[in-house]
Amino acid sequence: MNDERSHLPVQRELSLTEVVSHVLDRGAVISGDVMISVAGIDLVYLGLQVVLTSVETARERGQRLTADPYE
Amino acid sequence: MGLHLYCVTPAAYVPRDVAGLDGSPVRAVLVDGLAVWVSEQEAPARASIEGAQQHHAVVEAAMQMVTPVPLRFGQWLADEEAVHVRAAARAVDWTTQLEALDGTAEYTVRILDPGAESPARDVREGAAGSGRAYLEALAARRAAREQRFAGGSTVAAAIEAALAGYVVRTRVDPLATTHGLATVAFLVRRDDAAGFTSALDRATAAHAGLHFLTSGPWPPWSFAT
Amino acid sequence: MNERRAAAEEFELIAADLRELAPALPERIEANAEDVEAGLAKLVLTLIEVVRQVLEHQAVRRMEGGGLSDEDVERLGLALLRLQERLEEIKVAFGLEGEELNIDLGPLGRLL
Repeated sequence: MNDERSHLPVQRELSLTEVVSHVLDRGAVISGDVMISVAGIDLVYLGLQVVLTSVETARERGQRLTADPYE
Repeated sequence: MGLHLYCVTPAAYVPRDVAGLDGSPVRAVLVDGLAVWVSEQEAPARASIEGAQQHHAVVEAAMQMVTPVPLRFGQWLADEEAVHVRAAARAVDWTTQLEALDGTAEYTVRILDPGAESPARDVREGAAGSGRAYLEALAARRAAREQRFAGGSTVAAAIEAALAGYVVRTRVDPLATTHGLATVAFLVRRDDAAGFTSALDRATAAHAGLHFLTSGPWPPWSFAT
Repeated sequence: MNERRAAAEEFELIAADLRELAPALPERIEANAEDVEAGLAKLVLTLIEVVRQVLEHQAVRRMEGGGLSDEDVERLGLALLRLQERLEEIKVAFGLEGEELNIDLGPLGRLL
């Protein structure tokens, strides 16, 4: 955690938290080909996107994974 | 050189003198009656506090004119043609969203219980090298979180009921911090802002012992898809 | 006076919650701060962390479902415990100790 933030008054910290939460966790997304850039390397994962999207969707549904062979 | 995307507005609303990431000028790509707000960026943006604030500021600039559909940080397309293709595919959906969001703003309420005893953050501490104890600690932590969210949802529902008439839409999510119960997003007509905030103060005051962190008005981040 | 101290303590509590909420983001991205190896390590470790959390969740569900013997529960729990400890060691080796593993995947949002 950014040390500078521990000195912010609560109101400013709240505001900063909300801004960061909004832009990273909310808002519309354009699905499709995913260009992920990590450390300057452009990586395009299509198969990975399917996997990641499934996991993310499962997490949003309260972590109820559908493909449980032991249910 | 690609394009970083900020938000979508009706085509009649375009950016004027708006600066985006790294100070790059924001402009509109017009597609099917919509304006997609973009700026030139060499590569997909990497998350930073500064970048987050700059992205948010552009969406706020749009909000001064009209309620936009905010786009999540990190949306990047190679060129204008790609914007045309993607936006055309979403045009009907976004047009519908813009109509539904017109004249509204979002308010956030984070519900915390200062008295809540949270489970140990590091589950390994209680496990003492026992496999069963570790799994049971995981189960206990998950149960505690679910219980927190159930409690938070109940409070959120009570507050929503007390705000009836002011709230267009509500969204409730878990808040997985030490004292967090839930995060509630309310979509409110901007004209109702004063009445809403008074009603919200009264509604939250009814829950002694809980702490409410409220903020807004914001662009409708939680109601954009 | 006591009331003011109580309010200040409560504020600090809340501020601590806020700090938990937001990810550990750098203030800004330095143009020349690329470390390819650490960047890839972080991506790999984050993906492993996702799988680890999924596995833990599955293990808990199976234990609660009652279909596992005591011996199975113990072995499963120990394996997951060891996995978490091993990952912590690897994080330290790559200088990612204490850093919150998370990757911003643009359209996919944050992974964790």
